[in-house]
Amino acid sequence: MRRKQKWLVNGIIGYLLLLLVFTGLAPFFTPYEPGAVGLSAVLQPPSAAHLFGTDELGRDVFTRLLYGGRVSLAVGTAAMLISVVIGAGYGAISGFVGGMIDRVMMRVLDALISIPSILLMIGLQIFLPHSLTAVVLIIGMTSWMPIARLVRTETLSLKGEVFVQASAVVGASSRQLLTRHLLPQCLPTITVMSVSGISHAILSEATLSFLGLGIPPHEPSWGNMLMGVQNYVLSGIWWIAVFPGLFITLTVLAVTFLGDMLQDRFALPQFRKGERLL
Amino acid sequence: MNEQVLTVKHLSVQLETNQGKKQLLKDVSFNVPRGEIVAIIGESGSGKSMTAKAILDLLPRGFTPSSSSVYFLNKDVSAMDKRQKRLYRGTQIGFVFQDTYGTFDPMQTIGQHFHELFSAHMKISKQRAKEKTVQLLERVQLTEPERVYDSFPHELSGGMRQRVQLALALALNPVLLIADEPTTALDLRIQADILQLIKDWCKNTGGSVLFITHDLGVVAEIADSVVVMKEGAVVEVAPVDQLFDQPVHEHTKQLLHYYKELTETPKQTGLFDIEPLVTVNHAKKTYIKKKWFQKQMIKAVDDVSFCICKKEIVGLIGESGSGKSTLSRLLLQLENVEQGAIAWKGSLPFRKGIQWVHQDPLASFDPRWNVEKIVGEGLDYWKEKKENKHQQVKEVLQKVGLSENILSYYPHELSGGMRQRVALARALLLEPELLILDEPFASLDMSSQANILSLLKQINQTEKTAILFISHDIRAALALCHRILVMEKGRKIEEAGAKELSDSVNFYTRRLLSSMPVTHPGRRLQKQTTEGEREYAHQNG
Repeated sequence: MRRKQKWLVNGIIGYLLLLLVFTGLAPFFTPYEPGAVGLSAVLQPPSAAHLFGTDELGRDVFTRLLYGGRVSLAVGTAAMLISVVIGAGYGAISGFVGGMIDRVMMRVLDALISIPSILLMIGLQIFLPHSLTAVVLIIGMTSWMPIARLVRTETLSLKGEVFVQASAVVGASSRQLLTRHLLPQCLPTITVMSVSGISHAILSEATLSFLGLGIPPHEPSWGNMLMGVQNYVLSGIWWIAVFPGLFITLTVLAVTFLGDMLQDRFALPQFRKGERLL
Repeated sequence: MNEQVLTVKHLSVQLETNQGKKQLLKDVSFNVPRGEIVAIIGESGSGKSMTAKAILDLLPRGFTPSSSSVYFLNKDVSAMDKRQKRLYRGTQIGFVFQDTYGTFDPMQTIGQHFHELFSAHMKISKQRAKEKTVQLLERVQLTEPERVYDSFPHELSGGMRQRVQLALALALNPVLLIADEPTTALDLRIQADILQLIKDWCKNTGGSVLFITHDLGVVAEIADSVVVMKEGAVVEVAPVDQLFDQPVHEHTKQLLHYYKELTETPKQTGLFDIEPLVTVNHAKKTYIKKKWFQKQMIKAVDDVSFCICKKEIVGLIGESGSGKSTLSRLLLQLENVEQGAIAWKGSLPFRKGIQWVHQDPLASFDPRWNVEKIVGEGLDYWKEKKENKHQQVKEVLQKVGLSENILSYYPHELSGGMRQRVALARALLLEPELLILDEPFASLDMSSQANILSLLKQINQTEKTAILFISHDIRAALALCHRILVMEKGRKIEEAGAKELSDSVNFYTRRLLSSMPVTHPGRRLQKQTTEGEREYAHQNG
């Protein structure tokens, strides 16, 4: 990235840091409880008392955004981590071992991909208790397949590279080849995939919550805050939809840019765009 | 007869960068007379190719040549208008490059390339173009011109593509042929053929050639006069005999000295242990090549037996596709033998005792690692040697003649010769008993070759390392090895000491030997007659 984009970099990092501070230390920034119902002040527009207004039950939108951000970010990151670990491991093993094992693993993958992920999520939900952890697990376990496929392809092509053989000649074992040469080479791919994974996870969480299968309704998340607000937006009560939506959009955008920067950081030395950003 | 086809007068090229102006060519002047072959010789980075590009007016943006310095048939090239330039580049000059793949459009057949060329400069029917093309392809001695005509570039071998490139360059009967390292990437035998073709063309049509190379052997073989370049400037211009006999400039003397090192077979073949280090017994390896529904068995290594003794340098010579590299991969245990056995007699573990330098060192380095990590990698895997790794890496770098400040460099920042040394350092760090070098000279210019050659000799003597030297370059093998194995199509066909090999009677070995360029221009005639005699003797005996 060029120098003139420095402000963008600072902006993104600043936004993400602020988000972490505000959501992490939510009780210090708001006097309200996220679940506190205030029937005397239902659907209030933004004001000094209620910065982002109140919702249909009189709960403070700003407070719920802060507490909800905790859930959304946690779900996004944790689910992403799970899917990256499963995906990269599965793909790397499949590509590196090759042969019959590779073929079997890939057909299993094909089968899993062919099932719509929403069905898979609902299916998994049956076996798991209704909780935050369950949502994380479900999203993580249903979104690793594209990562596995990409990592496998890269491992497969890297396996034949001369430098991998050269490393075997100086004595590296298969495991060392995999962890020292093949996986680091896949890092740029994995980074980009995991970043889009975060946004995917945030959106999946929203979808699940909408179906009543996600985060239990008493706990706010950006996803379940957006639920059922269509009617209000049409009648001019914009704040209960716009603020959660804005935060989802901004966060996904910021994380995507972050991924771009990370990709540059992990790129081969000769392809780095000059100035080191991170 | 003394008409100048090309005159270069005080040619300078500047590059404008952020850091200011950089002088790439300084005051380059020389002539190419009609009917002569002029060679430009120099190390990599000496500005040879830049000169060719400046002559063709093909310099990339930012490079500014001095005006009015290139005259073609007494016309100033920089003063030509667009149409004239097209004519000049298209029909009056032909050029051949080193890269035989990049110069072709991969989506077009060879025939389409020729058709495009013809139709750009003349009115010609498709039928007529094909006839002409086939004729041209025949002239460069391609055996099946009709098949080549319909082939795509990737379906041809490197040598065939170079012939096609030559045919393309000569298609419109140019006055001048510019050849930029046309044979560097090719086998010696194909090189000999290509050089012969160029010589014949020059003799038969009276055309001139500007031949760019780093190899004095090629110069001795082909050139009438020589331009020696160093760091963007011409240091000496002389007729070829004079250059070899009475070099004036220090740099020329240096080049000749290197060349001598590379071509001289040492008299003392050296005493070595006869204790075998590794023995290969009837090794066999076949690959299966699938094409649609057919399976084709390719015998890469077919019943090969030999041994390498301790402290010995063995050369493994053969053309591309003769199974040399497969054999090295078998020795390295990167692949397993199908039949036969490879027995290791050195100290264990085997994996550590046998090390490898790949023909393309850059490809053999992890691109995200720096020199220190690359060289030191082996130590991570052998526990007993782990301590003071940094020190050991520094020592081994010193051994191969590299300074320690390249430790933090990345592979792409190194020059070809440095890469070769880094690869060598990595192999030597584990103190192997056998070092396998796969075409170590393939991508180096002559001076780096000579440097690496003496380094290898030195390593062999001081470290007592046995070396298996794999190459198509019989010249280098003769200069380095104690014993030489010759392979053809997966079989070992000859094994002899380096000195005895030059008197070999084997037909294939003879052919390899005769493809070596002459060591001195005066020998050109001599070589032709001896070759003729041998051919005659072969037919009658």
